[in-house]
Amino acid sequence: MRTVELLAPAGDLNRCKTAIRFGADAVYIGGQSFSLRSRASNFTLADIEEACLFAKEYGSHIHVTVNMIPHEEDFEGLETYIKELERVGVTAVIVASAAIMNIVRKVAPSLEIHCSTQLSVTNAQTANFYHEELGINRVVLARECTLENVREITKASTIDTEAFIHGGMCVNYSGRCTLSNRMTLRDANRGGCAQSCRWEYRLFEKKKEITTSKTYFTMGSRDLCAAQELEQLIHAGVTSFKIEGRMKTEYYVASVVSAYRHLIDRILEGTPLTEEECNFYQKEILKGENRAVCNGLYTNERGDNSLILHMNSDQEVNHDFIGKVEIYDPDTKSFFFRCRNVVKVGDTLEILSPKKENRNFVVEWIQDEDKNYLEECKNPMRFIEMPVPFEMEPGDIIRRISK
Amino acid sequence: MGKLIISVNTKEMILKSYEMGADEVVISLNQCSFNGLKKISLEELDSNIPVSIFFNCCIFPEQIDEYHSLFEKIQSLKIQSIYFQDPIIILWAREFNCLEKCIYRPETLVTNQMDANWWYSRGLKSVSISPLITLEETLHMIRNVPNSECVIHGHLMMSYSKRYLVSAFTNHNDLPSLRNNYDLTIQEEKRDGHMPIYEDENGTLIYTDFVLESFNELPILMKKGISRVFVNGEFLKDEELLDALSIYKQIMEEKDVQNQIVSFFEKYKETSYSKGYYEEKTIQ
Repeated sequence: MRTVELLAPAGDLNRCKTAIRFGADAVYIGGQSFSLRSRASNFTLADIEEACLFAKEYGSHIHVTVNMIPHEEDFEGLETYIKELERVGVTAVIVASAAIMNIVRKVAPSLEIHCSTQLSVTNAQTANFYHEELGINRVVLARECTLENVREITKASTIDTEAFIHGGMCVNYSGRCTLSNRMTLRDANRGGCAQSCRWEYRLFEKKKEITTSKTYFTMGSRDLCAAQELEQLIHAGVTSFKIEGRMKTEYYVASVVSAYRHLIDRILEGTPLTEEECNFYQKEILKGENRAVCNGLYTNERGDNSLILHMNSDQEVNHDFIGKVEIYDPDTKSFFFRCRNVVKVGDTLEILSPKKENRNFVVEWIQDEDKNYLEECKNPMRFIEMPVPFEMEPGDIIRRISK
Repeated sequence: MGKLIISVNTKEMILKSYEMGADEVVISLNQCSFNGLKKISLEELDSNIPVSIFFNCCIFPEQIDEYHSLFEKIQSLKIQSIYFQDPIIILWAREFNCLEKCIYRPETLVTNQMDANWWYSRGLKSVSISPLITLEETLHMIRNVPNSECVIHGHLMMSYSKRYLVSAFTNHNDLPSLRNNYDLTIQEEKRDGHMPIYEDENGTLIYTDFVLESFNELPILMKKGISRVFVNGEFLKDEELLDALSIYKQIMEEKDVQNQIVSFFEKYKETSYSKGYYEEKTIQ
């Protein structure tokens, strides 16, 4: 059976382990330098080494983003860092600079080089050019590609392709936007993007204003959700499917990765997905999402419906993150966790466990640390216990499905 | 002496720019150029007059045959330079033996000498240094990258989208189309500057509210050996553009132009001239 890679984001070690436990074949992370999400790049080398060891246990892999567009001073310490990434067991680095690609080939030849979406590859000839001239092993396709583009590029490319399937989208070609540089002096190509595209603007034709106080001009893109296109992307021969979101929470990582894992496994069974199944998986994926989504430019060349033209998201969150199981006691058939959102007796909760179907139960009782019975728990991070009619594992995710 | 290059909006400006001292004149063609210059059709061009071309779209699979054919057609012109950002152009240039005319200009991506030298060593004519770096960084690159080019004047491209951002807004609000309109600007709600925004069939572009000028910096760039300096013509009036070009030409000829510079700023005081990122280092 053909295998494909589900590639998840992680902003710290905890989220990295969660992504792997919930079915990510690989996780991409950022070190403390040289990465494009400076605020999401918390991995020390020791963390990266631990992530690699953890990934190895699960047959998973770690990719590290080294995808800044470097200025002269950014090369300081880079060679040492790249060598260390190779030493600790990183599989691939994601790179957007020819100079950095050359350094990787020279000092760490066993590391795979994945060409970042920052280079906006939109045709197979360009992908092959980077392979032949710089030795890249994989190309992350520009998010501007349609499904048909992805199909053609993958077919004609001599290297593996990677496509985004979920998460935040730049409204502009990645790497070519300097709105943030101008508005805030924060360099979008070196990890400082202030998301100025999501701000409010007034539009003028010569001196005449076209916008009104009710119709601001905005450019923010809805998030991508390619659940409906995933089956076609897999059949197009794409190797890796990337979820965006190194800034996202552990709950988001667990929820979205778990849902895509189930969907990919179902597609790889071979029989075509029914519309009903597809809708089911999409709904599962969106339980972890709280922003408006679209299918990007996959089926709509210009993304006509992909913009947020008003400030409020039209997506309602209907599932709350309640917590993560810390202890399961098989003798008492109960579990302990730190409560993240209000939960009360009578609520129906859903448990996400790696490689299992989601399971529901109704809360029968709640006890605090002093064994006092509670009708509801309102205090964030309070350590509580409740019974459950099935077995669980530490790390399982608890969320509400009814209020 | 280095070369002075200018991009222009009309066919008439090609000859006027040469008369004013430009060494190369760059135009945008229908289809393959993606910037805020007004487009000129291939048929309008005189094959005896040297010209440079922006061939700088991201090229998608369905466009390859058409653009390859266009690339072949432009070989019949007296082409001086071809500005590109998609490396597929390198492959086509090898096919048509015109690599030595090609200039890599991805606007934002060339910010260090190692990257610039890698691209230059593909056999290109030049590499355009990103205007997002400081003057000091630019000078360092000029010293270390042969035949490099830098933008010294004009609005700077700030974003580049495949999406029809203006049309999305007008459609959403039931307003008439503003496609191919060169008179549009946007203003961030809490800031003063007006940034030109332009949409055509290739997508949407936004430019800086300020207009970069380098009258005092050009002698410094020349001293460090800059090979090519570029004046961006997008969204600037022809007269203003030619006046700037004339001053730059005289600076390159080491003439005293201080009085002309004073008069220039007085004449065009409505334009937001700025030193861009020369003294402003962006942060991570």
